[in-house]
Amino acid sequence: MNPPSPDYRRVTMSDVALAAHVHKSTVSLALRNQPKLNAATRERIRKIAEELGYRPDPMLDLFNLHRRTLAPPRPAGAIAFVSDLPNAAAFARSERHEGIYAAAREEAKRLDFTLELFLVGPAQLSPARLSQVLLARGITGILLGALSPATRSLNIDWSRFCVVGIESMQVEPRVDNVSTDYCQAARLSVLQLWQRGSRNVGFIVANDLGAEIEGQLKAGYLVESQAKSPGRIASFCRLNEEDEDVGRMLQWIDAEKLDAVVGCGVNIAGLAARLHPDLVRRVAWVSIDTRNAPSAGPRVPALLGELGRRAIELLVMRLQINLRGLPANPATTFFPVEWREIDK
Amino acid sequence: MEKSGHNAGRVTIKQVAQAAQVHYSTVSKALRGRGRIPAATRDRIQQIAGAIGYRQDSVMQALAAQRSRCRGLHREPRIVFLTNRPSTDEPGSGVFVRQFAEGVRHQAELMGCACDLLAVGDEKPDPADIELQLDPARTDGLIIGAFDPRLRHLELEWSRYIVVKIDSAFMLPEATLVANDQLQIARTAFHHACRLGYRRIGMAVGQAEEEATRSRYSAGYYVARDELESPEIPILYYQEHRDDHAANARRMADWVREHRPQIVLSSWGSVREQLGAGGLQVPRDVACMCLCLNAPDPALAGVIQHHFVVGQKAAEALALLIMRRKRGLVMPSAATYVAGTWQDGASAPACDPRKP
Repeated sequence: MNPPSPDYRRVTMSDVALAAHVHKSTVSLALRNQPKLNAATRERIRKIAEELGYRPDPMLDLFNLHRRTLAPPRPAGAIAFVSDLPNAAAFARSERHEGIYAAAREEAKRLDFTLELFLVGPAQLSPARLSQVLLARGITGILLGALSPATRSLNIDWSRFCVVGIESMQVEPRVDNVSTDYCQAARLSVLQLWQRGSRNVGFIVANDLGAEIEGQLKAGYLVESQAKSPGRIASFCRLNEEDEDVGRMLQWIDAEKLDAVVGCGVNIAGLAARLHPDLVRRVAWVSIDTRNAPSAGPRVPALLGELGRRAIELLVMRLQINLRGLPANPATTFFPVEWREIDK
Repeated sequence: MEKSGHNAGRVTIKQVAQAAQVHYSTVSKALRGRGRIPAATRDRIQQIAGAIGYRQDSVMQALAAQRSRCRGLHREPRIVFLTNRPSTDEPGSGVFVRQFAEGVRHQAELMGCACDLLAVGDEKPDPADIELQLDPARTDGLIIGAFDPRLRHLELEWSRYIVVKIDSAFMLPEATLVANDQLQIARTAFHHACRLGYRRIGMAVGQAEEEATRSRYSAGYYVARDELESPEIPILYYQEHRDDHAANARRMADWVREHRPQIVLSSWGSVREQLGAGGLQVPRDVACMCLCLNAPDPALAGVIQHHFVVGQKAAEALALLIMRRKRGLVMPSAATYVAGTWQDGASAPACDPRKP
C-alpha cells in the first residue's frame, strides 16, 4: 500500500448521499444492505458508493464500539436461540445446552444484544410459527442451539434471517456451524492412550449425538488407529444412555479384547461404577465430555462456552452487514479440546 | 480496555460537568489546561474530577485524535497475505494460492481493510528480512497463506501480530486456521463413487499434503469406507514434487494393478493424465475423481474446492480477532473448514456393480 498523499481525503457517506441525491441516512441503510430499503435503491446507492470509492472505516467502527461501552447499555436487538428440547425444564437440565446458552447470553450482552430462548417442536412452536413470531418482533438473528439428530430440517424462510448453527450440522440445507472438534478429540484420546500403553482402544458414542458428530469422532478415531497399527480392525459402538446395557458392554469389551475405552457423551464414571472392579482396573477409560460432567478418569472436556461466544460473534458480525440467507459454501468452525487428568 | 468496562461505566467528562454544574466544554478546558477559564474554576473542576474518579481515556484520545487528523492522513487497517509459493498459472504451482489471496483481498476490502501480498520465496527465507518487509507497526493482521510444507519453521516475533493461517496446519505458531474441508471432501467423493455403483474404491493423495493437513483426506476416506463397509485398499501416498511426475505415474499404475480399485480418488489435479501415462485408460481400465477441482470440468468428476471462499473466511476470522485486539497466540485456536461441492464428470460414469 502506498502511503496516502497529503491531499487524500476519505470518501464519506455524505459524499455518496450528495451524488445519489438521497439523505445520508439512506446511504447508511443501503450500505448495510438493510431490507427496509427497496432492492433497486439499495443497488443504485451501492453502485454509486463503489464508483466514488467509498470504503467502510473499521477504525470508526471500533471507535463507535468503544463509545457504546461508555453509554448505559442500550440493547440493539434480540437474537433467537432456538432449541428443540421438549420444554424449558429439559433445557435447564441439559448441561450441554445450558453451558452453551449461558456463554452466548453473556457475549450477546457484551455486544448490546439480548438472547432469547425459543423452543420448537410438536408441543412447542412449529418452525413456521417461530419465523412468524420472529419477523413480527423484528428479530433477524437465529442461533440453532445444538438441535437433536432427529431435527434434519426447519421450515423457515432463511432468506429473511441471519443464521449460525451450534453443532447442528445435520440440518439441511446446511448453515455455517460452530462445533467442538470431535475429530481432534478422538485423535487426542487415542494418541494419549497409546502413550500410556493401551493397544486396543474401543470407542462408544451416546445415541443422542447425531450421525454428523459420530462421523467426525469416527474419522478421528479411525485415522489415528490406522496410523498406530495399520490394518487392525477398529471397534466402534453406539450406546443408548436410557438402557445402558452393561452386559452388552462387557461382551463387546471381551470380544474385542479392549484395554481402553473412549466414550463420547456417555457417562463413563456411571458406567464404570456398574462394571466389575477388575474390568475397571484392566481397561483405561477416557471421557470426551460434552456436558461438563465430573469424571473419575482422564477426560477431554468440550469448550461449551467458546461455542456460545463464537456463535454470537459470528452472528453479530453478519447482522451488522445484514448478511441474510444460507451460505453457498457452508463452513464449520471447530474448537479443539485438551487432555485433562483426573479432577482433584 | 478492561472487559468489565461495559458495566463499570467509566466516569466521563459529562459526569464531571454535571457534578461541577458547568458545561462539559468547560471541563475539557479545565482538564487539559487549555482555553481561557479562571484559575479558581479550573482548580475546582480538577478537584471534582479527581474526587469522582475521572481518568483520561487514552484509547478514546488516540482515536479522536486520529479522526480529527484523518481528513489528510487516515491509515486503513492493513492485512498482509504471506506466502512462500509462486502464484503463477503454471500447472503444478499454486493456482489455488492466488485464489486464496483474491478471496482475502475481496473480503478485506469489503470490510475496509487494505491487503498486501508478500511472497517470501520458496527457499529458506530470512525472518529478519521478512520482519523488515512486514513493518509490524503498519501491519494489523497477518495471513499465513498455504505455506509449502517443506518450510517447517518460520521464526517471526509472533506476539506482534494477529495471525490466521490458511492450510499450513503443520507449522507454528498455533493459530486460527482456515482450510478446505478435506475430510468432508474425501468422504463426499467416496459416497458418490459408491452411489455410482463402484465397490473397490482407492485413494491416492500427496504425502506432504497429508502431513501438512494432519491426514484429513485419510480420515475422510477411512470413515466413509467404514460407513459403507467397502473393501479395504491401502491408501497410496505419492511424492508431490514436479520432477517426480513420471515416477509417480508408474507408482500409481503399479498400485492400481496390485490392488485393483475400480475407481481412484486423488488430490492430484492431473490424475487422469497420470493414469494414462501409466498405461491405464480412463474410464475403461479404471475410473477416477479429482478431490481438488478448481472449477466444473465435464471431463473430470470430483469435488470442487472453494479456495476463494477459504480466503474470504480467513479475512473474516482475522477481522474478528482484530476487533478483539488479540495479538499473539490465541487459545484455543479454532479451525474453520469450508465444504467442497460435488461435480459429476465423464471420468467416473455410472458403473454396473456386478462388473468385476
